[in-house]
Amino acid sequence: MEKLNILIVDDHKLFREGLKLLLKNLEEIGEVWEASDGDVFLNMIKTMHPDVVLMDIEMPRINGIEATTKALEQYPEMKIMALSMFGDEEYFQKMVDAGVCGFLLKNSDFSEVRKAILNVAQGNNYFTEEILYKLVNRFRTRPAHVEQPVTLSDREQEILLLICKGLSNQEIAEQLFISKRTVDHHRASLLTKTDTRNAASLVIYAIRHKLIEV
Amino acid sequence: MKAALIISIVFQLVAAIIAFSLTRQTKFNISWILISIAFLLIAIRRILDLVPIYYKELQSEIYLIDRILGILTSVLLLAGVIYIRRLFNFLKRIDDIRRESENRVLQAIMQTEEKERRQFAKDLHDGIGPLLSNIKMSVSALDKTQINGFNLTVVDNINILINESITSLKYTSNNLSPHVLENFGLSSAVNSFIENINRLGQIDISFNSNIENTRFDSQIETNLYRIICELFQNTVKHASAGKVSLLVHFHEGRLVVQYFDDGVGFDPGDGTSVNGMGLSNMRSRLKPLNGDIEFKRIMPKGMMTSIMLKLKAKTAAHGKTKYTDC
Repeated sequence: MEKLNILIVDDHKLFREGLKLLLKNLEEIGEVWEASDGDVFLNMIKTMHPDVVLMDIEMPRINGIEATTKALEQYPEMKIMALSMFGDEEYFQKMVDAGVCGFLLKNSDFSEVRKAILNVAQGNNYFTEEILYKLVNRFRTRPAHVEQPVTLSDREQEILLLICKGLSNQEIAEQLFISKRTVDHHRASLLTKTDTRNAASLVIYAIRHKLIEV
Repeated sequence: MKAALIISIVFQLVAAIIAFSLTRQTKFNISWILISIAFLLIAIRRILDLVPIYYKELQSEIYLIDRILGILTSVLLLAGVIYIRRLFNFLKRIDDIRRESENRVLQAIMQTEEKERRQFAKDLHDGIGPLLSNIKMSVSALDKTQINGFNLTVVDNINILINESITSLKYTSNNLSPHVLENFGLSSAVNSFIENINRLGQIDISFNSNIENTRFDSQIETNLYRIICELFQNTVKHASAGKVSLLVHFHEGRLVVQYFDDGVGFDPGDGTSVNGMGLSNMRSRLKPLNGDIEFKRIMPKGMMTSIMLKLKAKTAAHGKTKYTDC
């Protein structure tokens, strides 16, 4: 496997350097670049092509939400994962809307950071459990959205649950004894039906509309 | 008869002297001077009363002078009293100014406090937070197979300590000044706060609002947030309530907050408990916003607090509408 190039966008120098040191030690990781804010990041990606971007949210000048939105406008394929101190739903929602394919808290274990990077690099999503747990709890105490949720087939329902659990398409295929292509197809149809842009917003949609029991 | 007259003269003279000596201390001394002269004239009239006793032939002239002095005294007293009204108005104005400036000082104290809290919370969260996180990541990246028995225990202990530090740092920073309030507004901040109370699981809380995406002036948001927290804290600490319902509704420039609990209630008229529960604090938080707050006891049990603010729209620099007090 080719080594992954990582770009850390964070205004906290010591944090960046510390994380870089740890990442450099991993055999899966190639280059680790640093950007001190959204502005620097947007300039850097004109010439560099990181496999995974770890994006902080609160930064001076251009924050993580804006930087993600702008970067994905130009490079829709770019894999950006939020790496934040904040685990509140609002930040999560904003980052997911901006198009991140993962959300990680800064106080995670390093093994989780590694797992998340590898997941995201493979085209999957990674959401830290702490946030999903929070989301579920919050929607549980709030009334479900009044609008009629879409109707899903049993198979779609099954796949949706596994997506919410954070499984990759390959893992879902193995678990359900179907081909990965079929899973890809179901996933695409789920996104169309729910009018969501990626698995992250799909998960929020599912929880909010009580499509899954957690 | 003579002795009584002399005693009365002495008293009148003393009164006149005291009145004159006070002139220096009174700000509007014209009224005081008039009244003092009137006192003096009364004393002179008393002296004149003595004259006919010794000089009977002067009785008619004395009578005339006495009448004139009487009229003069009345005129002086009248003028003095009119001027004294101005004095009272002046005192009232000073009183108003004093109260106004006290109020402003109180507002300034509260605003400075909020500002400092915000800065402190930010420094803690953004400065120390990432460092602790990094320590945690680094420790978790240690290859545990390379560590022997005792050192492994030490590493595990470090892990526990870091986790505890991160949790209490977040808790402290959020208590000082919730970042969600600043970044996402009142509704989100209240939701977060309720989430934390819910974790204790003692009270069934329902929160309804139509202000999810509405932003208000930061002073309004902060003050209302603090009031709502105070209400919840009162319920948790004192009310032994099972249910709380909070409604925040914004419609046509009116922001209404209604808070109910089914606890033991309290008597808003009872000064002893009121101060302890920070009700005066809530009132002074609403004062600069020209808001009204009302506490009501509900029978058979519970209490209701309603807050009403009149707001007007203000377009902020980034083009988004914000609401501020009228």
